[in-house]
Amino acid sequence: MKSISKRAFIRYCILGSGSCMLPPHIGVGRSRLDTDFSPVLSHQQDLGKWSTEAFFYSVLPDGIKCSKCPNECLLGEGDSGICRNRVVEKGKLYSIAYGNPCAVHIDPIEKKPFYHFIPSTRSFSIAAAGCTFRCLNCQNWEISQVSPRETQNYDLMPERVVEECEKARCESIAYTYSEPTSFYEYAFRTATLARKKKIKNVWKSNGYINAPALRQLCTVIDAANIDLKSFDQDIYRRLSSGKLAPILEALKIFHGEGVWLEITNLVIPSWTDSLEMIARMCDWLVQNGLSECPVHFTRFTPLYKLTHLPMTPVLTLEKAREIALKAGVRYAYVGNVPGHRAENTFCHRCGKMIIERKGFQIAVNHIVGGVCNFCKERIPGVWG
Amino acid sequence: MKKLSLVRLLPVIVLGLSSIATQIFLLREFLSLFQGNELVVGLILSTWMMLTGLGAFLGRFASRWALNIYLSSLLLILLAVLPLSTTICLRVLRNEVFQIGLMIGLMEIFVSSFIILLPICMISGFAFSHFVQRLSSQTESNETSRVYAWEALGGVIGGALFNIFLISYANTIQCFALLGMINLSAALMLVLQSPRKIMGLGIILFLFIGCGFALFSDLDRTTRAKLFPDQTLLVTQDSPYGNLTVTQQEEQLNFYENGVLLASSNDAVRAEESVHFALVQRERIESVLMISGAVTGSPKEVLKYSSASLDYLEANPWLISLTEQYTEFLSDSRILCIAEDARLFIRKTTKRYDAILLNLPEPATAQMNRYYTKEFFLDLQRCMNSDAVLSLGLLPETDYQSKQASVINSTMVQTLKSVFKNVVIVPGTRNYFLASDGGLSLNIAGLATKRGIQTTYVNENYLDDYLLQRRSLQILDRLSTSASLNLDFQPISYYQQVIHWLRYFSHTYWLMVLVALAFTSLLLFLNFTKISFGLLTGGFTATSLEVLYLILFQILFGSMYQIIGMLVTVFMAGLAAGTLLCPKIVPHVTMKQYGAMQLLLGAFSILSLIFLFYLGPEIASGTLIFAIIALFLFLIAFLVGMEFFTASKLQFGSVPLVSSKLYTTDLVGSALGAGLVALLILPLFGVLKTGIIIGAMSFVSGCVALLKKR
Repeated sequence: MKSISKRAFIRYCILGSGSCMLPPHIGVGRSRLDTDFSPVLSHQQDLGKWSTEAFFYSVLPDGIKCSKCPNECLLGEGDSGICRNRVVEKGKLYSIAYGNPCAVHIDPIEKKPFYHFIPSTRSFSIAAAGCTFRCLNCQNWEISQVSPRETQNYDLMPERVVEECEKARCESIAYTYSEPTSFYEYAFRTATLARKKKIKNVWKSNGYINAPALRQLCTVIDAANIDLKSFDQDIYRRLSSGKLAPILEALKIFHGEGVWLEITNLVIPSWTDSLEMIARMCDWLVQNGLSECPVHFTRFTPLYKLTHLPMTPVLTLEKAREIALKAGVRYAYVGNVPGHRAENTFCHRCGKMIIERKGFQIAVNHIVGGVCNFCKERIPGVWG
Repeated sequence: MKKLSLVRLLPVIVLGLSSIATQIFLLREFLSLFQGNELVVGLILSTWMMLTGLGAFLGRFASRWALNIYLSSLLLILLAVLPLSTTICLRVLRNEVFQIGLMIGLMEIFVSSFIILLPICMISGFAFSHFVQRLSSQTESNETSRVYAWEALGGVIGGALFNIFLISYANTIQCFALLGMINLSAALMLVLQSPRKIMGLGIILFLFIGCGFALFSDLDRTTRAKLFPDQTLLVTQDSPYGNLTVTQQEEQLNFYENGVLLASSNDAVRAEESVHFALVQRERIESVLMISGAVTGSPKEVLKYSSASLDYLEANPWLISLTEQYTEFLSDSRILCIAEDARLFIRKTTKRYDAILLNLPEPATAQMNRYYTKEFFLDLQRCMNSDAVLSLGLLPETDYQSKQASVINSTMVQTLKSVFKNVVIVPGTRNYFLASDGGLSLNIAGLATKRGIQTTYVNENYLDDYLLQRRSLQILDRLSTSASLNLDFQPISYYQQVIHWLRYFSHTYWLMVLVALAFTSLLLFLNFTKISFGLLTGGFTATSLEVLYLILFQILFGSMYQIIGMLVTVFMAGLAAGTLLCPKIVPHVTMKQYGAMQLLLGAFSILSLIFLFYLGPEIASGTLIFAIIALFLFLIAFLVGMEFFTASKLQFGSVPLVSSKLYTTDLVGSALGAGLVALLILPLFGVLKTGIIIGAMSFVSGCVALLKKR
């Protein structure tokens, strides 16, 4: 008889009990979910329970200066920052995204993507509305380009996030989908509580954050995946309305503070697909001690405002990966191309396949105790 | 009325021909550069008419050059050169002015279409006024209505020649080169009558050679390649359904329709999701109907079900041949390709299917919306086996469902539920709606394994059924059960999609209000009278009804582009006939008759729509309905033509003033009709109420004409 794992058994039980055939009417069967939040319409204009005094700001004679991210907004009374969720009221800066996420999901950790961080686990993923960037290709523009006042949100204070995460048996909480730097206070508090419960915290971000805020964040965050969107200042400005230099600085800080770091580079045709630029980017990573950080070259799909472009050719992604490996990046992957061989992990020393991935599942794992089972080389990552 | 020789009327005919052909082809260019929804079409058409009206208005100040032959020829030369040069500039500058690959916002579309159309439309409007003054000076009478009629006749010829015939055989650049030659020939006739011919002849000859070069060179391909940077253009074809282009980048092939990506090769996710979410639902799949989407590779996914045969339906035969030429997706003998509109096919087929896969773009236009209505779903249900599954996809994947997305999803779920017993949403790269009278499951990956289907993406490695259910129920949780249904005659979904699209740019419908206010201000500026009010509502009613009839015809019989071209031509013929025959029908025009014409127009609008509303395909054949719609269009245009003639006789003032004022008012009314009906009134109020609103406009202006003292 074929044996099944405990996790698989639980999953089959859940599926078997409810999912064979849905009842005739939609929406029935909702109670099967072990997490059942009530959506809350929080369009309150006043500062209510979903706000908290913001970190990292100073009162200047000409207004309030937010110093959390490099946008460094200077705000007057009633103004909100570029991120749309920090507002000034009565001379103080408030975050209005506190305990007020608009997206709450459970995802495989590989979906973020994290390939070297507690693989094959699930991550309890939350996002509040707002972003420090204005990317033309944003997948989640409906939450990143609006304020929490415009979204339908959940009433989910940090304590409840941790509870729900435990209830859903997730091993980590991911701050993701929109830009977590914009809901920093909420994420920080949640991460602090989660850490006490031995739940890991993962940060999926554009990396656009100032050093003091980042250093404080690193005390509670276990892993970060940073979108390094290009290696050209002008492209950053046109594509995302951001700057490159602070992101490079943030990468160094994440690494220096001991946070597990993976990097995503979305290869957009005619925008960020210059192989020469990718080579410069990889050289910089290696020269700055980030050669052990896995780099994911992911395929672009036309989204949001960048719709008059093709998808990225797979060959371009493969070339980018080759360039990265040649430059000295030890682990480079091809993303958003299901079934591609470069989804697997190859030991940087002996070159053998040490993790064979099938989608978000691990089919074969030759990493034992963090080392390659073939050549005993330490494989960088957090393996469980 | 003095007789005018055909030679004297030729420039006017060429003007009409030129206007309609330029409008048809430039609009297609705009749509492939911008976004092809009703809002953009309405905005561009409104801008077009507004600028033409402005040109006609300015034309009144050129009366002192009424007989200047050089001005007449110059206008024709400009009308020859501008469409061609504008098209080339549009293609070359698209990625220079705007960011590469960027979807352009409504405000940018308005500004850029305003700048681009300014020379063509202004000159076209100016030419109308100028030719009225020229012919009036020659006959010493007001020739406004005659020029209007002959320009409309030119439109009939242009519509027939370009929209019905040339559209299938020539690309845009070739059509414009040919149009340039026609305009240059007319200019040549004028120049030959002038005392100093040499310079004029030289310029015309030079431009003729230029047009000849454009006609026989590869200019269309070279300029279109500029729209696809870093890609090798393999083929580009202008079909009556729009432009199709295939490019190559590295190993990848990209298929575009009107500049928007249909598919890139090696996209397993999309190909698999659109097929397997539905097909894994049943143990045995024998007959599948797929409506569009073969370029994604989905047919080969269907054939993974060993007993399956596939009927592949694609309205655009050009797309089928490109798919066959560049892929192997349609090469299997189990696939039957049918080049026909889905609505027509479904209505007449006797086959029964186990699954129907609707792989069409979203219902963002009235034309696309008719594949997402309750009536169409009922038709589909009739050719489905008892527990067959229907699948369709809407909106790209996001991690959050916005309020507008909830509205769109609610309408679609409720519309499907009004026909099928069970409806579920499977979140993938799009939200896939599955509908069936049999059971439906969200255990997609589990079922794929059970059925033994080998897939790259739709399997347990990538999809966790528990998480999929969670996401699906989160979407359903936020849907309204009281959402309006999407109906043929009340197409609410495309209105919702347009609102959703506007959110990309933080625009709202305020822009439309702004445009409407601009029109109104323009009219007030033009000294508003009851004559101009009548003409305004006449233009509004005629264009609104034209738009409504075209939408109705498409809803009932599919998007037969040539037939639509024929209907537009019939409309122009009605305008010409009404204007030319009015003096014979009403020899001595009075304000009372003018008012009565408007009342008649109002009554006819309402009654004709009621008649068409109840005359479904069950009652009458397509040919009969086409004949009825053509007749109605002709009669309405005939009435508006008569109105224009009457107004031109009743309006006091000099020839330049009368011609420019009436023409501008007519165009502004038409612009309002084109914009407001398609965008706002029809989706919100449905066909019948729209008919009443349109009719009421003419009733009001008719009553004003009858009751108010001069």
